[in-house]
Amino acid sequence: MSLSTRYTLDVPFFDVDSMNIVWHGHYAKYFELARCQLLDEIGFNYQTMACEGYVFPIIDMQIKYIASLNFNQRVDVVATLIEWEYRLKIDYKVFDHKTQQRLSKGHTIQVAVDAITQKMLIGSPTALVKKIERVLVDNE
Amino acid sequence: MTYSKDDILKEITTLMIDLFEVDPKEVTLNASLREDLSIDSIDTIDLMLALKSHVGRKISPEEFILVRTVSDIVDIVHELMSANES
Repeated sequence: MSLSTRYTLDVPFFDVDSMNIVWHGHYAKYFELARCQLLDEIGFNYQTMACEGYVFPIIDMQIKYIASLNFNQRVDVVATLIEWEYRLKIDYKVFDHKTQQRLSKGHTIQVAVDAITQKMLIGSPTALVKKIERVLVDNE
Repeated sequence: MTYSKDDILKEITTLMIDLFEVDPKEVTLNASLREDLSIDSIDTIDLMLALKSHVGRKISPEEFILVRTVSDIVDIVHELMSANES
């Protein structure tokens, strides 16, 4: 695997608004679904983070809406880890599954916080960096 | 090329203006990042990334977490740049 994953979903009925397109706030959930799959594949998901004594809140999110998403449309959310040394920055691109037209793009930034002291770390935990480096070596 | 601490302070001031829109007059060696420049812990990571890119060397989070003033940053960057030259 690479530091990228593709999460495919069908837009559910309850995510569309009165304009019959996906309400902008739901994109955060689609990003989350792809992000969880990516972290699972890296071997450092939220449960692992908790076991290691950390939480990783989102501190920044940016979304650009290029074209609308519609009910039952099958879309691919591609999540790519682009920074991990000091913080987790994940880039997202949403494509129509059939045509691969790009519909949206964005990013999120998360930082490590000590679960007990609630203090933010200005570097990623060593366990996480090692996991990522191992994945990178395996991909070579 | 050898960089003096004054040169480094000028470069750090430019970086801080770009990143945080601080008033250049407030970026002095004794200025506290948190109290005087309102740079919080999240901003600190942005600053580390910018410095890493600028210096071309990894900034140690363990070292950077101890930074309190602009002078502390100048010292770290000066040390890294000196290491680059040797």
